[in-house]
Amino acid sequence: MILIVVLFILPMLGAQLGIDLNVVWQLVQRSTKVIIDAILWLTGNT
Amino acid sequence: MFQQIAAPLYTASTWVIPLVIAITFHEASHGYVARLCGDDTAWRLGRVSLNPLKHIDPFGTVLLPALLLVMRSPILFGYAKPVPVNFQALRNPRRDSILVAGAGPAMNLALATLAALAFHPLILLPDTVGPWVAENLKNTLVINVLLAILTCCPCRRSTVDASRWVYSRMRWRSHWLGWNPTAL
Repeated sequence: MILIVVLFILPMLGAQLGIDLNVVWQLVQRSTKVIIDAILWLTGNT
Repeated sequence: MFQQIAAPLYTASTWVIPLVIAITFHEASHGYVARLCGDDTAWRLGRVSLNPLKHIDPFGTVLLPALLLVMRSPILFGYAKPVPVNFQALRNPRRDSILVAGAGPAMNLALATLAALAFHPLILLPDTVGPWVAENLKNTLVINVLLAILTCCPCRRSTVDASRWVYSRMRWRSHWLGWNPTAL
């Protein structure tokens, strides 16, 4: 139930209100960016 | 006419190829590590294979994401066929289940690193293929990191690979921190 609210209902509610409530996606996006930056740094791409 | 077809095909090819590679290597690595640890269930079922058709679920990998994409859904969701693992058959179930669960995300991080390393010789490629290869490598990097993170997301009763391990770790830590991971 919590998952359904967090994954589906909150983003839809946020879209109606004009606020970004997609908490999970924000968390995933931030951690993805950190790991990609680390990989790029380790492989000498920065 | 040709231009109208070529542009979407170009974009699709730069996303579909990295996605198929990421899913195939991810699932095959679970089965391969399970076999190394004593469970040959996936091996006997032919799931330790780099043939994408063995891992793609017609509904979860193709139809569902395509439908969501066509419906312009704000949420994209999909899944591949899970690799069957008999955790009781593993030589050291406690340690080996962690290794089997972590094999997928580890493989994705390795693929992402390889893609990042492959940026270096890009300059040697001719201009006709260079941008296409660069776009593929960039998407390979993003998709693999994303897949590694998503499969580690802790969900209660989840069968999603490493999330089993992450969740068990979080439950152990939550005992000390007084924090409930099921809220995620």
